[in-house]
Amino acid sequence: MENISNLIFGLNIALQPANLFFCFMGVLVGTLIGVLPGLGPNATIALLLPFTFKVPPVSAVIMLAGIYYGAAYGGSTTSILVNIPGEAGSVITCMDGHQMALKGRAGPALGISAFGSFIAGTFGIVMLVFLAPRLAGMALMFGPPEFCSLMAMSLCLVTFLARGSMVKALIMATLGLLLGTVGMDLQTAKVRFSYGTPYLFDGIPLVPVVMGLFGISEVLKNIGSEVRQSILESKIKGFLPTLQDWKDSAFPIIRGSLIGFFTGLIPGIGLATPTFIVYGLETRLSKHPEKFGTGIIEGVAAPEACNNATASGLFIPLLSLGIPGSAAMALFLGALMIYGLEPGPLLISNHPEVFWGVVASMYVGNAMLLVLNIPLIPLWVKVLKIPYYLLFPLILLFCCVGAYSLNNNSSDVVVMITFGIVGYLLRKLKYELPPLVLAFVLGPLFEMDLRRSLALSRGSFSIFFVRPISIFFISIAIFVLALPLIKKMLEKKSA
Amino acid sequence: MKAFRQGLKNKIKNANFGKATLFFWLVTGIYLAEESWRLDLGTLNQPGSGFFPFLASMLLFFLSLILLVQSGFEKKEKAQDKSRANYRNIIFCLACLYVYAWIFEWLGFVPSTFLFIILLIKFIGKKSWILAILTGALTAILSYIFFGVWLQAALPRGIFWR
Repeated sequence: MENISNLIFGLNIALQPANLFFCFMGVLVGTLIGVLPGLGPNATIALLLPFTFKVPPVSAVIMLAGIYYGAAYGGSTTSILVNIPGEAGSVITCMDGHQMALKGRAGPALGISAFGSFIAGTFGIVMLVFLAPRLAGMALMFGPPEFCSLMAMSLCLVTFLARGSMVKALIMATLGLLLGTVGMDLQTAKVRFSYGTPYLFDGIPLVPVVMGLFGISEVLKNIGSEVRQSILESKIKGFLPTLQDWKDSAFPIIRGSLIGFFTGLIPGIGLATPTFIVYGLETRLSKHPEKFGTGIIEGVAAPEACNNATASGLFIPLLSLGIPGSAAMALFLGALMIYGLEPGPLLISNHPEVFWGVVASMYVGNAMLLVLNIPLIPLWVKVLKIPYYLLFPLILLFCCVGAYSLNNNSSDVVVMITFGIVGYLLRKLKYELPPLVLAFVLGPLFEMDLRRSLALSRGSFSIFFVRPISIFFISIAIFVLALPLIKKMLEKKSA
Repeated sequence: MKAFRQGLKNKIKNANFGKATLFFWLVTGIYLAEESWRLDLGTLNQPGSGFFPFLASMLLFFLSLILLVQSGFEKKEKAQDKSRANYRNIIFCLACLYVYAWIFEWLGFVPSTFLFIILLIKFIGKKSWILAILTGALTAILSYIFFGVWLQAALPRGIFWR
């Protein structure tokens, strides 16, 4: 009951004209960047962050959240129409979505993707309302050792879920931790690794780093490759799915929502992995698994519902524990800190207007996306036709202005470009970037809690192995790290 | 000279950047561990400023060592992306970006953006001068209105409007 009254309080905030405007801008920009290949939600959130400093924190967070789930919506449009996913969560939608488009059923594919996303988004938000405050209440019992082991677990999970080599992902996480140590040590006031450069005394700024790693490096990759996309030229008609389409999609949407939400709670899972799990499950449960990949509506409904439910699930560890589960959430954490809102279990009680306002705005935003997106599809198709030679200078310009406006300092632009090169090279060498960003953001908190824990235990690491909650997190971390070794040993035995 | 260039090209083509990167991480790990040591490790009771970076750099060292040993057993470097990339475009774009960042404050937002967009469209987009100049002018003016006037970002005015 209390949650319902809190949600009404949140709706009062979200429905204020200014917040409605920011929510609208967020979902619109989010859908746009989801549609445009080449600028993902991470880079866009980083890009728009400096411009949100002038608005109240609630409105700013509402807009940034809108960008995030708007991108999950928009990504499906490119997957269906041009077989190019706008962002990672829509990769699997290409399989059946584009096939449906080729068969002249682009309309129902886009329609079910929008309705499925709305249903899943609604489910995710309801769960967020009930779960996040409970989790935050539990987290109040956490001390530095629990937070430290929770962060260690998150980092291990992120590296475990990396697509490539786990050791490479661990290297990236370590590098992130090291980058996070640059600047003044707040406990001893000693300046570390700044080599006399005053710019680095406050540490390497997060926003230019993320913009460089995700925005600039993506542009460098695209202008360095010769691949060009083809666009579906046929007219798209009839977005409303038929009754049969609804019958076929109902259970996939339910399953997609459930799996998407609960897997979203796992740190590091990202938007893409749950969609693959759901698609695999649907293929197994289907009476006609051979039809998957040929353009059936279940193959669109399940992953599209899933990625939106995951987007809501990802917010839970961030808003209730202050622990981000993905690169975009790490950026959110940075944003909350910049706005002066201490993220963590106390966020809900100290700043209820932010938590409930953002949650309610997510519901409003989802409704906006449903109403807006279907009539706007012809516009998104036109946007897709903007040639890349016009698009990439604009992306670069936006990145430069965004980085400069942080502190009106061109050094931020130089840092961004440099991290763009770093990001490009790391991608080329198949290193994953999300563990780096997550560790970079968590690093200072991790270090602080580690040092506090050691001070509490008078220098004994056993503190992490005697407290039950900490044991739980550490066990998961150790299990995850040992899993590849166990797998190898089992494979050797069976061979 | 031509033979030298061709030789260099072949060397770059066949170079194992994956392994070179691992050596780089290895050396970085050692260097940062040494630097952290100098920062004062403190005691386990009261860890100093160098404690955490020391642990992280040792971890970096050991992880790169593991990967290096692993890659020694593999005949072929799987991870390396051998796809051909248009490095000319990438280098030109980076040069433009650095020069833009450098002249941005001195020349001002509008003229530097105008030049930046022209260069990118002309030399990377490979479009005509007219299209490049028109797009450059339009982008510079519209982006100034969007960022400078509407979003009220403090964009540099430069030498012409001081």
